[in-house]
Amino acid sequence: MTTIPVKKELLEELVDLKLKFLHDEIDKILTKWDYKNPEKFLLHAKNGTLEEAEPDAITLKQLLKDREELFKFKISWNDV
Amino acid sequence: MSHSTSYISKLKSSKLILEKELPRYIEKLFFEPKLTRIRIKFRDGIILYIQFNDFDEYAYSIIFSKIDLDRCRFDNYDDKWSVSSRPHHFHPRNKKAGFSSPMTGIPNHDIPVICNLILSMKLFSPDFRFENLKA
Repeated sequence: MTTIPVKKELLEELVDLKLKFLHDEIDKILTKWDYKNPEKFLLHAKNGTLEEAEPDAITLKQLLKDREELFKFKISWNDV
Repeated sequence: MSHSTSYISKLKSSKLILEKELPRYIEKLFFEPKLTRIRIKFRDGIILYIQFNDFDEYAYSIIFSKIDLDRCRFDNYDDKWSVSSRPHHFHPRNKKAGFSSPMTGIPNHDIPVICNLILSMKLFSPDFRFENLKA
């Protein structure tokens, strides 16, 4: 992996843009299925309460993971 | 393929295989890793979605038309089907139920199988099944 120096302000902006994208896509999926709680949606797609929701659940699970990792990343550099 | 293989690596492997196996059949391939998927429009209007995540979950969906359930799908997400290949299963065209599936979630194994099934048009039939498969 290549490492390049970057200003913290720019990095913060890029991370926030990515976070906004993730937020919008997560929101899009939950709105489509009329859910507010992502964990509940994932559970209902898993146990069959919701039908035909598997593709959205697979994507949502990854988007939530990516968002969590970015939040942790932001917290870690705020400590620096 | 181990748990350490990222979903993006799986999408990249899948893309290479799809482009190699179906060059004349693909009208447009959309590589959409931010949405965890590849979307392909074929020349006859059929749409194929290939999806992975970092939890070893996948879905391969073939959409024949916009009509409800006019699709078939291989996945390992919904875990309610008592099939020999569990958790891997197959939703045939026009059927909600899950049946045995030959898929494993490993692109190098699965994508060539998908390509053959598409080219042979076997998945067009709502009665097509895979029998006696073990996970």
